[in-house]
Amino acid sequence: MNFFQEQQKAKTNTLYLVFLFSIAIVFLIFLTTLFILGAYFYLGEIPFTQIVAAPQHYLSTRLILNVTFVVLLVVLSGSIYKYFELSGGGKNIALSLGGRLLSRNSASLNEKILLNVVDEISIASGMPTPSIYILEDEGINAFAAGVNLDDTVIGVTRGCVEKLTREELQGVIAHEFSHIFNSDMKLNLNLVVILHGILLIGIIGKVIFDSVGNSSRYSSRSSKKSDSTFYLLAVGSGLMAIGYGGTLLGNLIKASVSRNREYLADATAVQYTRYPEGIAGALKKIGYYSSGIRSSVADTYSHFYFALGVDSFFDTHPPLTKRIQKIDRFFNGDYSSVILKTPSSNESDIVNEVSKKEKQKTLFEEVAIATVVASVATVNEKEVQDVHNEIQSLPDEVLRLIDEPLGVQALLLSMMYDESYKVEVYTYLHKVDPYLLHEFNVVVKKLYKNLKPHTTLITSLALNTLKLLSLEQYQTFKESAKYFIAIDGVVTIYEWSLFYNITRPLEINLGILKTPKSIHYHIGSVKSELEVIYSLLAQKQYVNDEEAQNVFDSAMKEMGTTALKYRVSTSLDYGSFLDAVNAIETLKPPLQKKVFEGLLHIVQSDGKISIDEYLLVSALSKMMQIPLPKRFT
Amino acid sequence: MEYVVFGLVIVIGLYFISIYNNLVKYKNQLDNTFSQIEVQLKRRYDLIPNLIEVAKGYMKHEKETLEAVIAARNEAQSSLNGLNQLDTTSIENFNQAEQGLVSSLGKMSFVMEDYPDLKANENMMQLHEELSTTENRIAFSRQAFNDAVMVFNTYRQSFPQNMLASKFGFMHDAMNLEFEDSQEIKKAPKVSF
Repeated sequence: MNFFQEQQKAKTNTLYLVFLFSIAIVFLIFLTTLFILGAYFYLGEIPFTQIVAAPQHYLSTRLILNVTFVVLLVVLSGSIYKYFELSGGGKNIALSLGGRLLSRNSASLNEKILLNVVDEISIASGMPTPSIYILEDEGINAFAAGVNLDDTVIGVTRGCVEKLTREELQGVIAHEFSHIFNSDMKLNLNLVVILHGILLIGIIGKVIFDSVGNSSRYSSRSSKKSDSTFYLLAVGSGLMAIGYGGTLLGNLIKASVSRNREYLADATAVQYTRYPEGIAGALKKIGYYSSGIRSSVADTYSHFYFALGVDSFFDTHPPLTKRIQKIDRFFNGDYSSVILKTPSSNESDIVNEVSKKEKQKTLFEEVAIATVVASVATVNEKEVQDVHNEIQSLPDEVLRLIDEPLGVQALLLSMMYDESYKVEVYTYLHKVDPYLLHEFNVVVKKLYKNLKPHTTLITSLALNTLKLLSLEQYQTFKESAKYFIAIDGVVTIYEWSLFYNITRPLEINLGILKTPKSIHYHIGSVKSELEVIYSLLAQKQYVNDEEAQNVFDSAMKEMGTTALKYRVSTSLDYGSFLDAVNAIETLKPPLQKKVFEGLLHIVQSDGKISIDEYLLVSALSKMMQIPLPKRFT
Repeated sequence: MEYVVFGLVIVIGLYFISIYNNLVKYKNQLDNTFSQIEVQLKRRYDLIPNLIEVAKGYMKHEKETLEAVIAARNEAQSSLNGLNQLDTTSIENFNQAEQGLVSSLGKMSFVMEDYPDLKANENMMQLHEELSTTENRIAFSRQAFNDAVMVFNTYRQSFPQNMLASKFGFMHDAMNLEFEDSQEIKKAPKVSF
């Protein structure tokens, strides 16, 4: 199943959730009514048998309506609240679990390995590098959270970083990435939203119970109050009881939705890394140590984790031994021995044989568009290795600059720098940010050459560090970058794409940009916008309008969208390009796929893909929430 | 009528929860930005002894100045180590220690003007360059930290958070880092055309 199908399927899953949610509400209404009947029975001293014999006397429509209304009010307001809280992105979840943002220049050796693993997989799969948060827990666990690809975070426990080998970490991270690509993040978030509503009744009950319990201790002498205190206590404990019913249901829902997704993610992780020992080893170590998470809100997010974070009656994850056996058939459930055991030569030979075959396959694969589309949101170990090598090939000094908030800004600015405007640029920087000027001066003096081929790599790596900027510092950087780009009066495709590939993820992370809701179902509604973008790309291939039109037309024929008409280069300007780009962002998933294919067709038409083109396609696919596969280069 | 009251209670309760969550979030962000300064500060504390080592050979008659730098560096380092809570007094101490270090470094580079040989020493030039880059980065991350402090304090002091924050355990405003930048980075870098 590919990325685009998964996205479609996520909708069905959400519908299933809504269905379970409605059942839960009905159940809650039933419980509450029962509780009120119990209260009648107690207060009116009506014998229980009488109620059972003729419940219709007490069970008026009005009562049921009232109960329904109140339960709905509580549950919905709880859910709506959580929805708004979570729409702030994955960052908020990580922070509320007590996570600390990892940055490369303050990271320990083990943390650096983790950051490298994440960078390599995310760059290889073409998705924006997620922020990494570390949780100070000894258990081995991890989670991925976010509303969409742009604001994803991955949280990893201290135990995970310290106790796992690089390969095992890779397995865990690949597992988290497959959650991201299988649209599980969105499902998980919806689950939290829904559960919060259901759990709210219990929380209110607990608050009433606690606060009344406390205040009654102080005012126990005034006997007047004791009556109302008693009732409040009764109400509180009643709500708590109903709440526990809700919690039970919530866990049932979680378990039913979450468990299958875990098997799927394990399988995908093996497929990504081609190294089953990695993830199996991580799971075995969890069996040996533990995967517990201590945070007080850990329960709410238990279905996010790599392995069981919280024990509950209905487990959110399949049993560990079963998960391992699905990957390693020979595992007998003995965790104590696996820790010291290295894979026996037999097994690893088989694995080597398999991966050798796979390697040959990927080597001879043609970069056909269908393959690229099918490989959206997948990674293979060769691509990860390529990224690893490419990072290693960068000069150490450049890597050090990338790890440092001020250095990375200077480096990016130097990539937009045109030396013929030296005086203007220095004067400008001196005015807006002397620190940045100082650093920029250092970077420019070193004159790093040949960085342009690595632009995509550098921007991806840079994002992590740039997330450390405060809002004010980011604004200064953005203004400076704009100044650098516009100084010669021309905005090139390279400049725009570079700028856009940096600013968009950062602004989403800072919360100043929201991903717009997708509204367009039909290619017709964005016809003129697509014409602008496709024509522009065609002109990037061939300067001559006639040839460009040929490319354009043949691509349209290929896609079956001959209604789109070519626009001559003189009719296009920067403004119309920007408008067109904004429309691209609001496409619905099935249309996105089509538009994406169109982009690939045109860009590949002259048989080679330049860096400018690659950057532009990568910026555009970022807008459409499609990870651009590494295979496309 | 009861419904309205009931609804209001829920809304207010949720509002309180969101205030608490925001306070936690801003405080965590504050701690995050501090770790950035720490990295650079440590880097500088490591650079200074090397610098002194090179200078010693040339500045035999300025022993006092050099010793003062080392003392100030040790003082600043130990007060940084005592800074895990980011509370008011320890930040004040740290601000003072840093201020002392910056001024003793300033003195040293002033005295260095009299030793052209030392200034021309390649090792010295490299160390000096590295030190000023590090200081520049410290200044920059200090800016980020102070921005985060402002966000936290503004939120804490606004209505109605000001009535709740101390009940939620956020007793005090966060404290700015207020040591000055060294003379080196106030100067614009030399540009030759």
